[in-house]
Amino acid sequence: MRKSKWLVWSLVLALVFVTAACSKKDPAPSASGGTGTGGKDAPKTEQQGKPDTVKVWTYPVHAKYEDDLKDLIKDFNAKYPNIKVEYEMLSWAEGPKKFDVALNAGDPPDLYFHAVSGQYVSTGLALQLDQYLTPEIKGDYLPGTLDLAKIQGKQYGLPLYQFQWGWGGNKRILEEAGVDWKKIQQQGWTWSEFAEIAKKLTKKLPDGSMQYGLVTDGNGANNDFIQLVTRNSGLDDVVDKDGKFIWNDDRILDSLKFIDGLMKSGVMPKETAALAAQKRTDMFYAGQAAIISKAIPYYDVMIANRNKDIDAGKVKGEKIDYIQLPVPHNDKYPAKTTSGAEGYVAFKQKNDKGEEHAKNTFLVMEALSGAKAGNSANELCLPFVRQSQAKLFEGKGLAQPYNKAAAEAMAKSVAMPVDLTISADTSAKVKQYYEQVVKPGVQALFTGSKTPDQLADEFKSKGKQILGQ
Amino acid sequence: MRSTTSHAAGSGAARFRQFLRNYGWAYAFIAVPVLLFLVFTLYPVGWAFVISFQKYGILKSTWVGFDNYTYMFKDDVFWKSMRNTVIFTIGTVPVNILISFGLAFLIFQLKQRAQTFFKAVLYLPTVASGVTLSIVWIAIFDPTPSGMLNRLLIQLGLDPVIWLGQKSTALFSLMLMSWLGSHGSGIILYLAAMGGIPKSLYEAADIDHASGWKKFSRITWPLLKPTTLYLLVTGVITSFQVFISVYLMTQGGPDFATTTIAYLIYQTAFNFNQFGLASAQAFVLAAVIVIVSVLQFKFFSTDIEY
Repeated sequence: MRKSKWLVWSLVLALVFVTAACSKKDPAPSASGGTGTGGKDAPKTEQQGKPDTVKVWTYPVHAKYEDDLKDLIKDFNAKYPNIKVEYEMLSWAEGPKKFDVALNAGDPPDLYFHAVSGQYVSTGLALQLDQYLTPEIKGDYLPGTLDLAKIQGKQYGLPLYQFQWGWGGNKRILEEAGVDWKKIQQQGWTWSEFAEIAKKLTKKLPDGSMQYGLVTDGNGANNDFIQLVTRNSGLDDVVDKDGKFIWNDDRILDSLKFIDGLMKSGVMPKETAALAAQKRTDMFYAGQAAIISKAIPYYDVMIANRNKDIDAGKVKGEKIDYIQLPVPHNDKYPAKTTSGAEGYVAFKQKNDKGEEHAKNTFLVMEALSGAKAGNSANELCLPFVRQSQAKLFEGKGLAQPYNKAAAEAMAKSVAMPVDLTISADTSAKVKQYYEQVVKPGVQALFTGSKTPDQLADEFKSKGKQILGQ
Repeated sequence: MRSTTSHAAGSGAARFRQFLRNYGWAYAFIAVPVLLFLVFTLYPVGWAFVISFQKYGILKSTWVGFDNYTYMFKDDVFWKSMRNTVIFTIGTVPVNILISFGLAFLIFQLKQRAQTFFKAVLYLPTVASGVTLSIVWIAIFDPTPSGMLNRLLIQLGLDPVIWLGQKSTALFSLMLMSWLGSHGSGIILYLAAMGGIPKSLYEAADIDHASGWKKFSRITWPLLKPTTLYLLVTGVITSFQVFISVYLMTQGGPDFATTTIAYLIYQTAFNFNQFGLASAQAFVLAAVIVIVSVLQFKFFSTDIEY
């Protein structure tokens, strides 16, 4: 009998263990007041003595960002002791995947560092923020910057900085080839001007290795490269701001011919399709790349730090002076800077934690995006998004004055991301088009297995198939 | 009547107690893994099967019948990935079995201490993670003339190759990585099986003046067939699911040359958020693996006795 009892208990315990491990947590109690206000309607969690916890998933936005974040959280907790902020620093390589899994499981963090995306909104879990934005907060943002975190007119994020993608040059190599880089920084350059200059930048080095005019990472991330080029050929994206497919005329063919010309003339290495991002950087550091694609103003600081490491004997190699350059544009179309905003995006969970928690999430979000948070834009040498940030960091810029001026010049011709205006469904189809048509297509162009004409036709027909136009 | 019923109930309870006394512990021990299997394997698989007929949404899913399956069978990329997977499997599994067998055969001739050394050395890559190995292979396949493999080619007077960047060599490069990769498990299994072959059979063959080849083809190989079949079936299953090397080294490119079905499932689910379609693809992959495994057992296990 005793044995039977033990057996029954063992089975019951096993069942309890398994079911407990798999059971869903009860949603947190909600209340109408705000924890932060400390009002009468404080949430049950507070009444029970438990602080409300807001989860933040973020990235090492710049080298000192984690220190900044700790400071911001400390300041916030001094004001709101009942809201606990739990943050997790993700790696740039694996973080997006981790977040996608969490989001699709219905359990994203309350705040996630990223640009807003139509696909986030289509899940129904992105938290709309318009109701929480006070006139003071709205007024602090510089004109147009808040719009960069809206989807179809609704606010889902607060930008921390406005990023810019351009090209980056090696000052020594540019000057040796007689390139007037200051003029290019301020006035831009056309494709034909670039083609002429790039020929001078491409040569065999004394050690037998090649110095290329332009190097990009063709392995995996090449959608960035084609986007930079096509934006400078009058095509803001695959679709226009109304979701209409536009990669179907001579502008796309011109772009493909431009890239093909760079490959055939040897300005870009024939191994481009297999070059990873790190290899591109290594080639730049080794003086084998005069210009690299997808470069950001922050490279100025990053490369200056590398120069210090070389001086200190920690790193071997040639010191480089970094030059921020705009992407050259089609002779027939104006220059456009690829830009957007990154910052915090707010989410609720499938098991909604209630309005109180949403309010607390916004409080944390605002605290992580305020004046002091402007250090991110400062460190990254990017234009500020809030007046309070610009004021606090005035005269503290880290970039070389000429690169700062170049970033400011590039900010004048920004292409607004179409993702902000198109529907989530179109946004998902555009993503699929990039992954299944553009990415393999551009790789085929790099390897010479498809001609620009073949590829332009393919882009057109697949666009019709996937985007239905 | 009542007494008969209560007597029957009493004897039933007694029989149950007896059953518990005899087999209870066995069932208790089995219950935990069975429950874990039901909750963590069978339930998700069943749920994924349901999702394969839906347009999946986190908050709301829509029933779409066979739409996901219809779309998948009309999709060029699905067929390309299936083709790549089959080529990869045919190109790697038999070669890997031969390499494992060859190495095991050579090691088996050595003294015990040398055997242990080689077993340990050759098993080491099995312990290393696929991610680490892929990073090493990325350096080996560096497309520039300074790449490790390209340096070797240049030394031999050949032109450097863009290993992972061109359609003609990308899938071959992944196969090469598999050939030169982990054979630890196969070697250990073959060595164990070789050690289990009775020496008397070889002694009898020696008495009959059988040649080395005769001994190999009539004794060694036939008696290793169960091990070979096991390696064949598990190898095919594993290679149909090849993912890490594709994800880390080529991301399916260039131009879908290395997109395998497992990578396509991942991409469909986590890049395009089409979980319904990804589930449908996963079930087709599972069905293919089951069919191939059944065929392997049917055709290769006819003269195997366990």
